[in-house]
Amino acid sequence: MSELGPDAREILRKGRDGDHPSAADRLRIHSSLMAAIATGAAEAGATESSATMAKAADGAGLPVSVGAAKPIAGTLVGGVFAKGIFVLLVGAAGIGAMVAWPKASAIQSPALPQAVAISAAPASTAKETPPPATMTDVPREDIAESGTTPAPPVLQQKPLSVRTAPSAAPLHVNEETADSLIAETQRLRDAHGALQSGDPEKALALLSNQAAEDEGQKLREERAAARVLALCKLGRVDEANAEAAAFLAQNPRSPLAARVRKACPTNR
Amino acid sequence: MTGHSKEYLAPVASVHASPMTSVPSDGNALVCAQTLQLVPSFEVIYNEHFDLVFRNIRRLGVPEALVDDAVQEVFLVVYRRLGQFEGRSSLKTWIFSIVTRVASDHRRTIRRKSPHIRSADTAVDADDIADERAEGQHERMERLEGVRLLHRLLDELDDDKRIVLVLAELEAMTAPEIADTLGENINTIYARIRAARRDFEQAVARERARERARERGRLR
Repeated sequence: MSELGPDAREILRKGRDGDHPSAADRLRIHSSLMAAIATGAAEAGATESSATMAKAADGAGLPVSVGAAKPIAGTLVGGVFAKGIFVLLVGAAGIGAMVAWPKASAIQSPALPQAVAISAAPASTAKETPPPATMTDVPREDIAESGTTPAPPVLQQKPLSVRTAPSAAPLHVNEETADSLIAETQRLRDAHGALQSGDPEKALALLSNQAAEDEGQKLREERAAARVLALCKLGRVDEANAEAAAFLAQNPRSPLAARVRKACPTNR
Repeated sequence: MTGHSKEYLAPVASVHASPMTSVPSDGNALVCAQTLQLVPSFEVIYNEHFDLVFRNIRRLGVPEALVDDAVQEVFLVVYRRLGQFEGRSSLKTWIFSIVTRVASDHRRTIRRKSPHIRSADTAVDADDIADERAEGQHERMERLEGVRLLHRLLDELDDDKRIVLVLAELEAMTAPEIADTLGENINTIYARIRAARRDFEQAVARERARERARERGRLR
């Protein structure tokens, strides 16, 4: 096989040595990932990048249903994960499926042994679980037929060990940050559940609670948008309009802006 | 489809006696009942493969602005599909196959929406990269320039060659591993690596010619 010349090799070496992620990269993406999983983004529906999921799983030799391929889309396309999550939480009517997928409680429960969580879940779906495939032998029709959901492994809430390359000195991600993000997403998820189940009053209470503010500010924008929806559903249109106006003034480019504008019939 | 299912046997009890405690990365694992191989937990996989996923998403042409999304997408696929990982190939190979697919999809999307965008144009921005490494500004800029140049040259390859060059030359994967990752015949992979090296050499030669032209322009 032909070999590369010294110049090309040097370019490859320099590039290879220089493109490692930082600890900040690792923390940032881990936080978003945890939020996505906690809020069911790994399973909830959306449409745009379903092909990505199907192809990725296909390439990995894994069966995947079209429905299962949807979840990532809403969270990925928007760019900012939390924004996408909220679009899923608030905007997508008919996404009841997300309730069935990884509960934040499972992630948050420190007492839940992983072995129990993983071995127990397939027991209920053993007959439906599609057989594992090799890397290359999954026909497309099989992928399309597969309509079941594998049990998710449990994401443990332990301190994340962080490496900075090339240094091997370990750092530790701020566990408090991850905890507060989980708490915020759990609250938002609960509020969404209340809205979905026709209890906007409960949703509003969850979103208005001082505890919501105390838990963290990462999803404040999402909470504010959800409040508008809850107020609309309660028929408190004037308050909804006022909060919608404030939201749009503060977040004119928010991906939630369109949803907020349409929350109440008069919010145009 | 056939109906056989896979179960995970209970791992060594002591390993999971206290999931909140930090456990060795090789201990936090499950045993696949089919292959009797250890399958690490998702968090262990994230910790051990994050660097690999992150750097290769960029190498495979996803612009800097979309790297976070693409990396998250890879790990969400891993998260969802880990229960079906058979262990017939290595975990690294399996994850790579996801990385290549996700990156390919992102590239396609970018080309469709912005056909003139090239990933290397935004691949490295010194101001955007927070780095705790102890290095001076000069060293940092030099490192980033090295990355930028590499990404620019990789951009000149077509997708198939780019992938095999990254896997072979930057990740030191063997041809059989690459064939496994991409689901291709090994002879195809050998031929593609050869072609990728040739094209990369040509890209380097063009780059050097451009540099000389710029240098001449400055001297005039």
